[in-house]
Amino acid sequence: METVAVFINGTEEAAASLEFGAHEAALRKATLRLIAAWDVPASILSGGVAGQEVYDEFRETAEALLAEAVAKVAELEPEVVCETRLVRGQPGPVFLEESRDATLIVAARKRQAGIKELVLGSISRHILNHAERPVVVIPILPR
Amino acid sequence: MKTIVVGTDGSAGANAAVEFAAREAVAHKAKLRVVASWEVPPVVMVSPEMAADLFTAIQEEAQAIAAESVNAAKAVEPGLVVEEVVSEGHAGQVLVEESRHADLVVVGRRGRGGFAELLLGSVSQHVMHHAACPVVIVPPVKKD
Repeated sequence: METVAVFINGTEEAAASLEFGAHEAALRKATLRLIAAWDVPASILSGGVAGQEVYDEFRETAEALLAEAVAKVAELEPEVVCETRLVRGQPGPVFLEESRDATLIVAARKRQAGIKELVLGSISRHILNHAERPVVVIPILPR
Repeated sequence: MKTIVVGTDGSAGANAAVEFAAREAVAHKAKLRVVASWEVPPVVMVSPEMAADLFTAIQEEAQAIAAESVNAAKAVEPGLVVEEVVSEGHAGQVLVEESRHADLVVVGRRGRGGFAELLLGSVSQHVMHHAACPVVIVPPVKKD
């Protein structure tokens, strides 16, 4: 079974990747794998012991983004089957690990203040440098 | 009809890209443009007659590489519409120019250039940063 992998974190890159990935999965009759990472920032942990509710909050935020992405896919390409992976850890390594068997991994580059070229974010760069599967890089052109 | 462009230089990385691009073209019902490029080495000190022969040889090599990749693409899918393109210029610039009229550009992670320890080749890097359309970077096929 073919799989198209997209990282979901609420950014413009994620939205563009989701749209591209959904379309690609429809064409290939592939499963669309939506991957999200969550963790409690070190800055919070350093303030003392964080209660369970802090952990729940960060996990639930990522969970909600995944649910939103699944709903978006149902709207864009209703016949595409989604699977979701929610893993605790750093975004780049989680995306890389959870997309190891994908047919195609979707990444994006976008405009950043003060730079003329579109640039890769740290997650896309991590994937591009380490993935052993084909990676598509989508340019998010300024409107 | 959609257009998918694939760059080739006859390297193992390019061959993996051609195969991926051919399958992608089938899925998208797109035509495939197989693009090879050639350029005159920056420093060549020879007589004018020898230079002419050298340029012809370089160009012919690019043509042979393009033809071979066209055959590889057709082997994946015999019914595929494939165009063979041989352009003069730097591979990265030629592919960026092609991206202006393409829906997708496919390149191997590394071509024939040295420095195997670099993760991304200079051509794939250039294309990824400057292309007007999505770019697929295909890693070499891993032998298990």
